[in-house]
Amino acid sequence: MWFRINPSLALPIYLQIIRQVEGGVERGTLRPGDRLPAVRELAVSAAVNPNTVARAYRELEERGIVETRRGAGTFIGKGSSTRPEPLQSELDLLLTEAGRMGIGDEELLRLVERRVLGRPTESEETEQ
Amino acid sequence: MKQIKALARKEFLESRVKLLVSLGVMAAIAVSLPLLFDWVRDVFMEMDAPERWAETITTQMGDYRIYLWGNWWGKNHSQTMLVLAMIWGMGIIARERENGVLACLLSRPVTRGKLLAVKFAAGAISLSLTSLASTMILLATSWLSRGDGIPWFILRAWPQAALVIVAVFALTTLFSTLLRDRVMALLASLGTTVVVTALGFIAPLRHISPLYLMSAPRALMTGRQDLAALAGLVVVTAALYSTANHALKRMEL
Amino acid sequence: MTDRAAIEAVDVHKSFGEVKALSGLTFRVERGSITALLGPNGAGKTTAIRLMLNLAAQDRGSLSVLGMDTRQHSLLIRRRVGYVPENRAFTPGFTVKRVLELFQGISETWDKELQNRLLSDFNLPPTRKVRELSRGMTGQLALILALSPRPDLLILDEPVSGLDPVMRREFMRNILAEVADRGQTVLLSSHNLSEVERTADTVVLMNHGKAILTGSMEHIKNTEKKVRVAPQGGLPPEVENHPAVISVRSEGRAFLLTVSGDTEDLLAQIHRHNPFAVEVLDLSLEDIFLARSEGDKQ
Repeated sequence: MWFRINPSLALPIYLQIIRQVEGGVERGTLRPGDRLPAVRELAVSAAVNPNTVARAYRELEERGIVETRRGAGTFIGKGSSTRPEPLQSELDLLLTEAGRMGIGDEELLRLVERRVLGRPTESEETEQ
Repeated sequence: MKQIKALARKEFLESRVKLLVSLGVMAAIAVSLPLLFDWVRDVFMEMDAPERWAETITTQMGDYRIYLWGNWWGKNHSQTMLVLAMIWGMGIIARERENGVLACLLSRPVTRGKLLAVKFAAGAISLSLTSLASTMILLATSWLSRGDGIPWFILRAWPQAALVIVAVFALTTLFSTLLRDRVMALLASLGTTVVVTALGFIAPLRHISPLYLMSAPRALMTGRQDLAALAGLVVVTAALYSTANHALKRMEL
Repeated sequence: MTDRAAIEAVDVHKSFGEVKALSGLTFRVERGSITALLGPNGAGKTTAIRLMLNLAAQDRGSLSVLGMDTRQHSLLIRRRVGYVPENRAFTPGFTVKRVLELFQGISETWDKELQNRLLSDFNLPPTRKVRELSRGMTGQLALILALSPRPDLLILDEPVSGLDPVMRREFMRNILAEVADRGQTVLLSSHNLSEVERTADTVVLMNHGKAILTGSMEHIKNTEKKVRVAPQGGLPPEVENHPAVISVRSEGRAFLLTVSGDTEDLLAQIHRHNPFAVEVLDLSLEDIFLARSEGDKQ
């Protein structure tokens, strides 16, 4: 399984790994029971720090997305709880950026609604 | 110890060519000396030489044994071996310091003392063996060309001569450690040796002259080793070596 | 606490004649980590490494490697450290095979299987003479010499210079395998920031003989940022003199701030003045390196 790691991003590599696994599960390219590469394997093939891979796997296990079976490896977990909500990483980015720009929750919701619905919302019409 | 074996092997492998050339040069000199005796004498005899010359010639050339000793230990062997000792010693530390091999080796678990000891021993052994082997070739050539027995007495001077060679090697080793440049080490060593030899022309100081010591006059005349001279040479060599060792321990790489 | 550290430097000073190479260097390398030692040329990285191996000794300060003082236990340290120097020198007339035999002879432990596997992975011909090797190949040979004794700590000084991208990746992979298998600690001094950024979990950035920035890769990327502000008027003094601001540069009507530390508080201060625009820029390791190395000059 090939992972796309962009080291120059501020996003830590372990999170990039986590997101790609989550993304795979979301889209169905990774299914319950699929085996992830061993820590050593992934570290060597992606040329990243083994500690980083180990951390990603630990976190994935904590989130319930994977489970580790001693001697066998790390596998995508079974059950619906392993299907995370979509667009989480994209939402994270949006919220971070909004925070940096000093945009409050209400303003943010308004911007999203406007974009989604493609026209001014009721509240805006009332203002005018 | 395994480390010593590995380091010794490295030194001998590295100086293969140097050793062969040294042996070759000394062997050529050794072979030529007995052969030239008759030739030179005949040449001089045939020349119209003035009276005084004729006396010297007869004295010197007359006695083959004196000729052999005087030319081998007094001149040819000694001068050449001293130069060889300096050539062997000039790069012993300086070369590997300059090209970075020294730092590479010392980043491994080898002590500086051991490294120097192996290098020094390898050089001293090589030089001593070259000296001994060429002397044996001299004896063999003499025996084969003249057919009047092997002049074993020549060997009497060898221990002292070999020690002088090792002492000069130690001197050059010291300069190789103190100075960064091999050529400077060679020149410093050469300069020191020349000065000491020159001082040796002043009668009371002759015992410090390397050339005088290498000709081992006491050994020739009495047939016994000059223990005082040998002891003195050992002390000088030890002092030079230990100074080099100390300098290497404090060297920053 | 010291025995957890693979390397610990405390206030180390070193001069070579007139030149002060290290002026109060303090940092720690944790066991099992891959720590990047970065800095512009002349920052003192190679000097620090030389002191670790006791090739030279510090004037002042303490330096310990694997829990042992570098001046007192140098031999013991060198038994457990593998070193790939920047200046890779071997006896020129020797073949690769002879060099390997020599180093095996002077090392306490030697994993011959690992040596042979690396030789074939790198495609190094054992009968080739050292002087005929390309720079990249001497780097590979140096790595084999450093890894075969199975050291606890690997110190690499510009190890991938001269290697093409394929060889570079292969080089790093072999090191990562050792880290994965044996929890080896790695100190990597390299200008090749892309490889460093992928693999290092800790960063020590040096300049002018000191460590000017240390921390985990994650932490550093979180705290080193650039912020572009287009304020209503001029740049407010509370912002300009904020402790997190390292330098300020004007870009027409906006200001570009180089920031290190508590970005949140700074942003709060900025927003208090209702700026026209605020942009927070994430920095790559290279950006951080450049900002901190240039910034120092101001």
